[in-house]
Amino acid sequence: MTGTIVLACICSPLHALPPSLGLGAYLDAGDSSLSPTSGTPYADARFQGTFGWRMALAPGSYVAVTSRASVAPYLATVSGYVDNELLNLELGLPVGADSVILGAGEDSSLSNQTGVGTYAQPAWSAEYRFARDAGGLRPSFTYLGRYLYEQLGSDDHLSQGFQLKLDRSATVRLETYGALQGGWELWTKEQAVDSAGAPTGALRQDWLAFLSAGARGFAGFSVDWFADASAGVRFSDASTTSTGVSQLVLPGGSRLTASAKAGADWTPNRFISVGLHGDIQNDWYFSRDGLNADGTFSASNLNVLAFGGGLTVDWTPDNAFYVVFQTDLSRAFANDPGVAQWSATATVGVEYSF
Amino acid sequence: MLSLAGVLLCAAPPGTAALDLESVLKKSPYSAIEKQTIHSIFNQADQAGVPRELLLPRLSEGVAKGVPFGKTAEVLTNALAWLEKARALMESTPEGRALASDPASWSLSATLLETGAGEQEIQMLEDAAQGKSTSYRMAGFLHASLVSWGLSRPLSLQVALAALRSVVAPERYLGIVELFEQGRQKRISPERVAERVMEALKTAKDLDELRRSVLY
Repeated sequence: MTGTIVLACICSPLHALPPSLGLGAYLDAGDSSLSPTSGTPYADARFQGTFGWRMALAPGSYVAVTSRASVAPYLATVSGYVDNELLNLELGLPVGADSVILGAGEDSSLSNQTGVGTYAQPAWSAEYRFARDAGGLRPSFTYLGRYLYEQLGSDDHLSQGFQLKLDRSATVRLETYGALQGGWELWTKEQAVDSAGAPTGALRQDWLAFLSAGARGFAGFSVDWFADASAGVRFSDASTTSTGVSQLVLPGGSRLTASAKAGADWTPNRFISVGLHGDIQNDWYFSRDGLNADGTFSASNLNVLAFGGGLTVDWTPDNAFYVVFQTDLSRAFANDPGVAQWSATATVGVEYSF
Repeated sequence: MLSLAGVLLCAAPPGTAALDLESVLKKSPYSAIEKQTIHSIFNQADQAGVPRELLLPRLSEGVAKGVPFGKTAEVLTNALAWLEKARALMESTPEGRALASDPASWSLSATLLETGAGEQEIQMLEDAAQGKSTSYRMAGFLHASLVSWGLSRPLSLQVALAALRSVVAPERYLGIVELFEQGRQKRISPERVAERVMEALKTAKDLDELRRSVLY
């Protein structure tokens, strides 16, 4: 979810180019340990619409909106449907050579296939972005907020965070960045616990801090690539490291996390594109036990290692009509059978861009 | 995809060209007669006032890739002809004459002609570059790259000219090619991306601003 803050100065609109409109129809097939009927392959027919529009308000200032909506009724073995709605608004203004950008958006679903009922996740952000210096360095500071609402689930929480970022565009072919992120979460349906693991009556609070770094580049004349790495910690007062407490049932999960992801898109001409991506993440819980296959608690803390990857190929004869193929795989290993997960999906579809 | 490698090479210092030719021929599988033919082509270049370093990359590439002698000789002969034609074109305007003294710009003009660019296209780029060789070369690369990628020649030229008229640094022009590829990922047609790029280049200070203006 993008977000930047804008100091408002509503001026006469200078120029608005035509919006982008797109429609898509797909056939998805897959299987997952988390699917509505776990372990049963499923298929759905998905229909999607996209919209994008930007208008300059004054030199250096603009307003932009992007949205996407999809609905996917299941076919054959599974009943029901899955839907998703995304909306992003962005408003930017210059402040001398710098810029300030405000953003707002939402991510929602009406269906209840994941068991949490209807969910909605509004988000907002504000960014002060400095101009690049002669060496290509650009600092920025961002405030981020969001709230997750789940009709039936218990992951409802308010999130407030910040990011300090320094990125460098040394050449047109390589950009690098380093960032520090911090955040605080207030979970409105879960309680903090004391050292004995008993609820205290106060709402759960989590604190997060992460460091990240990455690069993106343009190789040859047709390859876009990226690589990111991140490491950080989450402290939750809904978890405890005290011995003798059944940490497994506590809602929180204080943990260390390290992750990395990379990918590349090869677009040799306007007609075809091939994309490949992969990611890996490890979570070391220092407040939850693992679980053995026989149901007894493991002597070691919960450890989750997850891999993912995907391939996308699309072809178009005229840059209006597209044929798309996509496949994604993911696997999580853990010393807890209930946490280990996997999924595999494949999609074929057509899109039309107006 | 046309090979832009040759135009990226800067002119070699005087006195090193003969050594480079010999060292390249030493690595080749050519017979004595074939090497003599290559020497003859380079001697023609000397008589025509074409620096040897503008032909050496073609020869080196042919030897490295194992291209048959006949094909390499044909490429060198054609390259020499295009360089002479490019020089005549560049020396017909004041802006072109200023650029012709830069071997890399001269070589780029020859490559553009060889790959189908019209004389008027090249002269329009020369005029807009206002005698600045870096601007001319980067705009030429941009134009050639976009045509090679699939954008129409007239529209690609318009984009390159818009870049030359903007305040975006010439060293960043290649990033505009990336915008077309990223726009395609977002299902924005290349023609629409071109329209957005040309509009945004009127006010964008840098590539970051251009990217925000185009990719939505």
